[in-house]
Amino acid sequence: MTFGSLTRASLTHYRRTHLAVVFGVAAAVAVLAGSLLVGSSVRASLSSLVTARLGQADLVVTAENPFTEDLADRLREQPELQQAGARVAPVFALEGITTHQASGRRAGNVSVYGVDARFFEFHGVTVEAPTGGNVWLSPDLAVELGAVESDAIVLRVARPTDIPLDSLHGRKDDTGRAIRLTTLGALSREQMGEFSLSPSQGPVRAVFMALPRIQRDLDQTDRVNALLVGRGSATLPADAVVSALDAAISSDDLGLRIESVNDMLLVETTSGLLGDALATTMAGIATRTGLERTDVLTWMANTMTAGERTVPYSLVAGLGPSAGGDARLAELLTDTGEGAPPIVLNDWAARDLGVEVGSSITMSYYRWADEGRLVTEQTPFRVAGIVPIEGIAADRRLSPEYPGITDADSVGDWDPPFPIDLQLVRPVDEDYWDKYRTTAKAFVPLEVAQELWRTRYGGLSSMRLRGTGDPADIEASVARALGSVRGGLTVVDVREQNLSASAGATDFGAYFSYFSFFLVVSALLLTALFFRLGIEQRLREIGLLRATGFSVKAIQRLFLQEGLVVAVIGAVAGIVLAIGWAALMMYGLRTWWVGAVGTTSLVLHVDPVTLLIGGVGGVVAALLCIWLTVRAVRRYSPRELLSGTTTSNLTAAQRPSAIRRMTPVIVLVLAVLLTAATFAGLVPAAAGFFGAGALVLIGGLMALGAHLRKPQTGVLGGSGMWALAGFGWRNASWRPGRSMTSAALVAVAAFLLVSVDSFRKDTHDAADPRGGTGGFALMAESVLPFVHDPSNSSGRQELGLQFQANDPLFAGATIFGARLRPGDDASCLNLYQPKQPRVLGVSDELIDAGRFTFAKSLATTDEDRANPWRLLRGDLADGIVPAIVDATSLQYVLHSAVGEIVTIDADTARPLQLRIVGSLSDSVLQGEIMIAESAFAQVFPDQAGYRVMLVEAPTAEAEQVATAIEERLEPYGADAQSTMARLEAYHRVENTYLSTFQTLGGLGLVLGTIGLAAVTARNVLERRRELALLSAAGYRMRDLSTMVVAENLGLVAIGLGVGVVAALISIAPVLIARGGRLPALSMVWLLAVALAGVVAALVATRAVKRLPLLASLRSE
Amino acid sequence: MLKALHLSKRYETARGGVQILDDISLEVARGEAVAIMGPSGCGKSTLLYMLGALEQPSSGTVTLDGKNPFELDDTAQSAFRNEHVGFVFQDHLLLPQLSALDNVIAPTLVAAKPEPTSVVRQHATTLLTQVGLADRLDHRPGELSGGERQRVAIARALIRQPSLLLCDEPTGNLDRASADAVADLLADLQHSHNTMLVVVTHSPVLAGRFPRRYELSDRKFVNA
Repeated sequence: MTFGSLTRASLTHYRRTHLAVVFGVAAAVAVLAGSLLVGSSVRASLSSLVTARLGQADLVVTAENPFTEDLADRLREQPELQQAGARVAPVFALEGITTHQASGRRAGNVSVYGVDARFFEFHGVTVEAPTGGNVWLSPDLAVELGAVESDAIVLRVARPTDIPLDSLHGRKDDTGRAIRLTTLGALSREQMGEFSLSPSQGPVRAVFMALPRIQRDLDQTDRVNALLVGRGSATLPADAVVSALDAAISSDDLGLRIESVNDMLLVETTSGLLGDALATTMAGIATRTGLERTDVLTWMANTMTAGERTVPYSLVAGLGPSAGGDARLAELLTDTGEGAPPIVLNDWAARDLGVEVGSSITMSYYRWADEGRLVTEQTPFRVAGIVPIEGIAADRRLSPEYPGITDADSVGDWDPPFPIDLQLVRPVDEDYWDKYRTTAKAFVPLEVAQELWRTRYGGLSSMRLRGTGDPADIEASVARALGSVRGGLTVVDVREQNLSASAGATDFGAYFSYFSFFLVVSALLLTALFFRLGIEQRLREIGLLRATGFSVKAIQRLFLQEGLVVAVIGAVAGIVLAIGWAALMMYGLRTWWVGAVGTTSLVLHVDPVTLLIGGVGGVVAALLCIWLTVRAVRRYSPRELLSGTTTSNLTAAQRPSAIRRMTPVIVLVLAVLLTAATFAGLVPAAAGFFGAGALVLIGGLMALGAHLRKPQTGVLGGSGMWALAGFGWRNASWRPGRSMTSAALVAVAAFLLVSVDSFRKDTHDAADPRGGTGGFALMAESVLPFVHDPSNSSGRQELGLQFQANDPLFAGATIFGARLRPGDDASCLNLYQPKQPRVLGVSDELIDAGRFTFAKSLATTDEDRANPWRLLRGDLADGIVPAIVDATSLQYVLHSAVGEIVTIDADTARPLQLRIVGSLSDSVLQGEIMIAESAFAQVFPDQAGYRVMLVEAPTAEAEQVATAIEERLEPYGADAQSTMARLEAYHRVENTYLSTFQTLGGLGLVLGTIGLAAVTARNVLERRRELALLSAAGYRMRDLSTMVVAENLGLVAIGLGVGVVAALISIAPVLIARGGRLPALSMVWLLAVALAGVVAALVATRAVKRLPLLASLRSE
Repeated sequence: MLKALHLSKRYETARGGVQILDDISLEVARGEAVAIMGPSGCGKSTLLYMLGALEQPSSGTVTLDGKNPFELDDTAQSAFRNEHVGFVFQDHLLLPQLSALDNVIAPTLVAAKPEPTSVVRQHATTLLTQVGLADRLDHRPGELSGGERQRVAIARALIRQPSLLLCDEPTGNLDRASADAVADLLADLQHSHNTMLVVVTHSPVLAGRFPRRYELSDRKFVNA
């Protein structure tokens, strides 16, 4: 005989009691481990999706501007990649919009890949690469368009351009290409038809067209904008690929032109401007190698006027201090005379203007304003000198190449991207062009030129280096010094990034654990309850052990040993059940709750570690419950234990004090006062009503507890069913703890189930500027950027959106344009963690409009509090950009808070830190992060133009306006969506989560009610002698059943009543807003609970009927 | 020597206090046997539990061989009971999951100075043989008659060779023949084990077998 054998014997003898405990533990473990398994399954599904969609691509090399296609070969030949057996495939990757020509069906957000055989070889699949105008479609796109083999589609893509669109020389009317293609059909997932570089669980809309064709159509012969890198069999670090890229890269890849001109090295870029980073690098190289440097910024003057004389369309060069080695010119440009800034004219211009040194001239010129419009500005100059057209003053290459200008035969043939008045051009001007072409007519100091014409793309148009070195050596050292990343090429470990993103914005394991909270709690309560009932069954045994010298600790150890064995058995059973439970939940996510995940690709992945964690968690929780139960043994004296009952007399300390008796009343009075204060507007409605509801819940339960615990002083009387019911209700106070537990469980669950409905979101008035739509009926997004500002009538006319100034559809429209850095959807629609989220650059007009409602902000002044959008204009301290995010996205997707700093693009060459200065309340802008347009231009200089429009329109006209936008901006691939529909899509996700919570919570409540049945049955069993006595005294079985049912239903009814009343008070504002409509799903579950209560009562009645009453009496 | 001095017991209830015992004193020497009689509900069992360190008196002291168990903490008090006191209850209170032998052995599991298993087993077997159950060692309580169960309970009470044996209506649930047999057994064993024996009963027949008898009435000994 040992402790172990005693435990074994007890386990065997009380196996039936323990079986109930095993059931409780198994249920808890099944739900807990199952919930965790849901989380790991979602993660594994998302991870599988990433892996399948990436194919063999591990890293991707991308660039702001296309680079040479043969960089792929040069990169592959680098030793690091050769040793690793890495593969490299060049692709042209763009975003586009597709139209099925026959049906007119359109699909936006299409990934367009220019590929050749190397792409399919790279992925190791046998597919005939598209040639000519043929194109493969992804399965989802083929279905969406209804396209089959040989169908014609029209693809519209943005045209990559070296010259930024929103610069003076950008071709604003030539932003895209429409390409007519013939489909070859759909490529299956196995054939890489779902290839995608960005993580998303949604459908893949992809087009695979011939690389030579897209290069031709985009005027990008032999150039691509992405390289796919497969690590091969070896583990190749991303750093090694970066090093290899540095070694493989050429200046041509960087859009850099370096050539020897007039004994000088001329450094230009294909964009016509040297970015600041490049300029700094070049300056460093010049300093290190002892080269003399001349910075140049050349601009086009529309006119140079002196008195009555005007010279049209002249190139003006801003020169750095060395002036290309021309000491005379350098000296003239450093003239520090009083008045207007100095200008040096060539003798042709001076003669034409009739000016001499000291004369004043006025220069007018175009500038492309950041807000998206062409402006003409004027600046007065003072003629500081006149130079002959020789030396640097005769250098035509001071002006970079601008298509449409520098390649024109005559001024009359100019075709610039800005308006020119050819009537101003005189024969002498044509003569000048014939003779000198792009030779500058005037020179100004560089700092003056930069002050006037500098753009966010840079402040230099070229650089001259004078030295003795070999131009080829200088060029090579420049390329090496630039490095691949600073040159605009970025290496992203896309596999690591996407797999990391697949960890998910939403932890479904945690969510389902929360959703299953009541199920787990109910199961654990049942576990504790059954174990407690088992212990109560053995009180005399415990008493005996105490009498024979077993200490409390020794007895607790005995029971804990038993509990551990039982819990482990339950956990093992629960783990098996968990797989089934998780499979059911995954099925639910694919069907009932698909609105929350937006994909049917989620499948069950059984992860043993997760199951083990769930199992151990369940055992620990169960043991805790058992320990708490066993701990209660200490409270009972051996005397009580030996008598077999723990209904000891109340001690003086336990007798309810006056304060304790009054507390429920005080709490309920407080609830009434809070409600009154809320109606009076002294307390915010939501907080006030929820607080009042919670107080009613607490007060109601305390009142019930006080009622059950107070001595029963009333005299039984009367006859019939009600008298019996009253007698039965008294029995609820026999075990007040048990009764309270049952009623509280029902009440709290009912409260939560109903009150959670207040979080269910409805989409209200779209016209309310303070509402979720911001008062905008439509949100439009284009594939191609448009450089004209759609917020004003002239901009809309330029865009072709508004036919004339008085176009009735748009004349009075309020439209706000926003810049867009495309990226990952930051809303709850995306299950992946957004690594490079969409960013909107919002205009000053939108900021000043103060639309939407803020959930929270960092505003400290009254003005900012009135319009927290203003906080976006805050300083960019340490490069940290102020940002505003929707509150839901901020909390649940970005997992951050107002006041915190969020780093986006962390895996790229340009990580960006954002300080969240405010969060929008339930807005349509959940998918993106908002920053000020001015900050946007600084941090995303390569994102030209506008792509997003927020459109205010009367509800009745919204559809008409949407159609007009899509039709008139068709060249830009515009897609206008109702903000209400967009908001509803977000609400659908959140509401589906709530439904899931309510469903699982309801199930937990039903399980809890089963516990109530067990309690009641146990009560009946324990009172069998009392019931037998009543039977002997003439009570019929029916009478006894009535008493038991009354007790049971009484507890359920009170629990439900307290919970529902409290909940309805707490959600009063929502109920009022909904016109008093009650939450249907909650009501269904409450009905289910009431039914479960009836079942519990019937079970108890059955227990009464099965009681051996006579035997009970005899034993008395 | 068992000494109980001025023992009182009072319970507090929701409707006020209830005095159960008032100023009870009792001394029992080694080898002595005492019967305490009284009607149901007069506090006999309460007194017995106080003597056996199961229930704290409201006032007064209990010492056994000079030791006051109520001055000990729970663990020490449990060990004290295990070593010095044996209980026999009206309802035998055997553990249904254990055999008769294991029921007797059970108290030894928590002995402060454990004896070898074989010794304990032999001792338990001897005791069960002494109570006439040599052939029922492996039987479970459900397979024993009421008298047999009570005899197992007596053997269990003696397994730790206590100096004090306390019996609460030991024959209350037995028929006359079984009751006589149990009474004889108690007397024999008390004599042979030289223990102090205190029996509470409302049976005049059982009480009549004891040389010292106390009548408990109205919370006090009326013939002390």
